[in-house]
Amino acid sequence: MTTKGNYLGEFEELVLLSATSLTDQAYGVSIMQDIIKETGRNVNISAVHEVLKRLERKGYLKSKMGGATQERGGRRKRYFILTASGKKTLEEAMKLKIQLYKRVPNFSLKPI
Amino acid sequence: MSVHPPSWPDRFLAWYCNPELLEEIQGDAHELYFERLKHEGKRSADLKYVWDVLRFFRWSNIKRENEYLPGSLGAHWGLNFKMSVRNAGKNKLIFGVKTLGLSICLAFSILLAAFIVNELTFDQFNSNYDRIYRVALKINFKDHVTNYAVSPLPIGEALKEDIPEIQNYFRFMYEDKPIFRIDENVFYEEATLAADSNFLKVLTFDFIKGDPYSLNGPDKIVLTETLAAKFFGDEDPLGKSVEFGQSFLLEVTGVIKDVPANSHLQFDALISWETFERDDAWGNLNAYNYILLKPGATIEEVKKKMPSVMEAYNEMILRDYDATFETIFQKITDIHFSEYQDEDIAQKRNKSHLFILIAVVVLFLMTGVINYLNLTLAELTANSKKLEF
Repeated sequence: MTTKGNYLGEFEELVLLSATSLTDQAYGVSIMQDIIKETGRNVNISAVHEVLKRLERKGYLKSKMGGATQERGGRRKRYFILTASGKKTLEEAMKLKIQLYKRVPNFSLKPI
Repeated sequence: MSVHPPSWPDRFLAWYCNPELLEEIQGDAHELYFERLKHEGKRSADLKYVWDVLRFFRWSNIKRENEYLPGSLGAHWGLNFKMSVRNAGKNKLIFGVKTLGLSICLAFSILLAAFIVNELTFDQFNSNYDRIYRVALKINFKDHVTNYAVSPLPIGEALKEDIPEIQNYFRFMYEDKPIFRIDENVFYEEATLAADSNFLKVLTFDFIKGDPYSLNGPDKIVLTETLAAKFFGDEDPLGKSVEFGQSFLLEVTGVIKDVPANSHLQFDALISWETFERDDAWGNLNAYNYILLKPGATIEEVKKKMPSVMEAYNEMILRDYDATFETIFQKITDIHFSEYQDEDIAQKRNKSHLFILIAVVVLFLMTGVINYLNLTLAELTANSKKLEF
């Protein structure tokens, strides 16, 4: 399966960061709720699944099925963990942005 | 647990979803459902559940990635394709030879198959081809038998009047040495038929100009597209005059598309029947007669009801020629493969020659495929030795 370049899309970056911050509790619903809570956006679960699949294909996330659960009818959750290449990509994305912001003269990140 | 998500979207999800993804997707959807049930009530939870199921309905969740389906563009297909491309690159000579061989073999087979199909579909461009029969004659002389493609001029009309199963008939005669004159130009190589007005109604030809009634009345001529271009170039041929023979001035009343290659009758021009004075007698054995049966009627019924006028005719033949005759009905699609008949102008072919050709094509195809397989297997054996399987 090929991927369209190795850069991160905006929503991909959000999901990747959210999955990272949730450490060992990162699965579809928790990531979605985290993003809704932090950004206030209206996010659909299917979009989150789509991006998670894509990030795993690009090698930024690893996944494994968790144990059986009591809620959700005994269905298992798929947990996502950041990979080394995912970490590197996140850092590079951050670095690139800071580098670009620094070029702007007299630019303040504080709200006016 | 008494409350659960609405069952029909749940079933829909289970139906379309890739089984490998179903557990996590359904799990997440159910978890969200029960959470919303707590905070927003059943109605809202139900609606949002349906919405989630619909949003999950996308190709990446539907496709079965690691499942091998024969003929699908699955992972195995991609792998095989990649392997064959790499092998081709490795042994360019063998690949070139075997591909070229198979291509030539297939191209030749397809070409011959097209010819065979053309032969086997003779006259089937006529919309009523299963109901059109040619009336031919078999005359038993004292010492020999002769088959004629022609029959007496009045036979079509007589059969139609006496046998209710016959819907229509037409007849035409072959103009032996036609000479056309337009201004100063003379043409004398055109296959020309003098056809009655039913000719274009029973047979199916595509009209570019005019209609199936173009041969009604005397001094009319219908041309094929090619002949019209030859006679008049780019000018509109309709209404133009053509001199025919010594004493006829014909008016062009129609232009048809060229006669299909798989028609047993090949002609360039049709002159209306009434143009010429004919000896419309039973002794005049010069017309090609065809009948069209009514839908559902069979030729056996027609044969049983051969009218009494034929008996009188048989008596005349017996008296004048010391012979007896039989009328033969040939289905229009059988004429191409029928045996030799005197006076016939139909395109004919011996069916056994066609069968020989079919055998040759099959043999040729088999040889080509076996050759290809042979080279491939030889290559494979060589490779497996290298890999020490």
